[in-house]
Amino acid sequence: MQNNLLIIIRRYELIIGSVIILFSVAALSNFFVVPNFAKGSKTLAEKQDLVSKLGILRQKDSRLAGIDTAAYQSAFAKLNQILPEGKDYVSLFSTFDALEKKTGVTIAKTEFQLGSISTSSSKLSRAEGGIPAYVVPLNISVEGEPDALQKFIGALNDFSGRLINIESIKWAEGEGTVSQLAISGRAFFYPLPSVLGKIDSPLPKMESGQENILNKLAQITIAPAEGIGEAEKVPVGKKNLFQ
Amino acid sequence: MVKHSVNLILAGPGEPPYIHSLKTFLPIIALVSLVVFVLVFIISVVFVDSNTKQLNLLKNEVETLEKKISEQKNVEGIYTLTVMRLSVLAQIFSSGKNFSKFIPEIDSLQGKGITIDSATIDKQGSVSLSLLASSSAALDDFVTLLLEKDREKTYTNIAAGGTVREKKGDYKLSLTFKTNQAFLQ
Repeated sequence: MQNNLLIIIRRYELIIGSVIILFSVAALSNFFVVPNFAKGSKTLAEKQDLVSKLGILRQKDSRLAGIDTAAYQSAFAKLNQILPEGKDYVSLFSTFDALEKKTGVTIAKTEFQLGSISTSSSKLSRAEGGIPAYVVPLNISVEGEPDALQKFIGALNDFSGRLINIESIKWAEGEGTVSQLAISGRAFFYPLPSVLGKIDSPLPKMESGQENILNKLAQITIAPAEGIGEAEKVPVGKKNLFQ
Repeated sequence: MVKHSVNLILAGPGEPPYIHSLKTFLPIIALVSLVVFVLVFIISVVFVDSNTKQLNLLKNEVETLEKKISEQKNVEGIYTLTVMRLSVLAQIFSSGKNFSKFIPEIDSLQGKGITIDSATIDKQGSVSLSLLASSSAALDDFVTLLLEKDREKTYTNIAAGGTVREKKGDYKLSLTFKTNQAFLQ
């Protein structure tokens, strides 16, 4: 019996040896080569992700190096007065005071609709057209010469103070050459986001409309809201958020 | 005398041809697959090794850049917040209407016996006027002016409310119309 087996083995030793080698190669491939390639592919994918991340970071770094921080800080301060974080009625009053002096009109009455006092954004009135800002509806009664009134209307959205969009105007004849305007409009505010984004998120691009406003802002001086001097006496934390 | 030897053992059954073929080709296949395995294994090791090295280099570079960028967090913050706010401001600004032509328009309609008491305009360009004409001729001229504006498409949907003749011979009239798109731009 044993002799028969030995005879068969000796007769087919080439075939048996070859089959053993083939099975060994298959097993070794499965245990070493396949995992190696899987690992290599994973590393390659990771490498490609890193290459694209590196591209974004390089671009971000070079754009950050070219930013004029002082100019942006100045623009940001002006933007705070045009489009503050909260309802900020003080800046609305100071805007109207400045406009009164600048245009020569007399503001007879200003009426702001306080709306919800709650800080919960769900209770605030959103601007129309998907604009991510909130509105403060207001009514203003103004008297003055036609030229002064025209200047006043133009100055409401010339970035010299709080930006106000007019909804409707009622004009009425006054005494002599003086006319009266009852303006219904909307001021806006925009709370800043608390999170700025990840370190590898690209810097937002500035569109031409935004650039135009930025250039306009660089040329104008906005009168600081009254009451800031008083506020300086109150001990507060950091004056500048970015220093 | 010459001796002859005769093999009297019966010849065994011959191997089938496929066994013969297997004996010839299987060792060659096994050898080739072994060589291919060794080569592929070496290539896989080199592939993993070089990718890992490159990955580590990239990781270092990314870390360095991230550190550099995080040191400029203040600059990034001021830039991002300014751009965000500018974007919202630009949207609000472009959604607003320009009413600066309204007062000159009222002035242009007045005179020649026409006095406007009050005028209202909204952001859709709908206007309503309340006016006083000193005579029927002045009223007629005013209607002609309105028709001209209608022809030029400056005003559309012009409609007059009730016209009242007052004691002094004045005519009191209320009007509504819509201005064209260019008027509030």
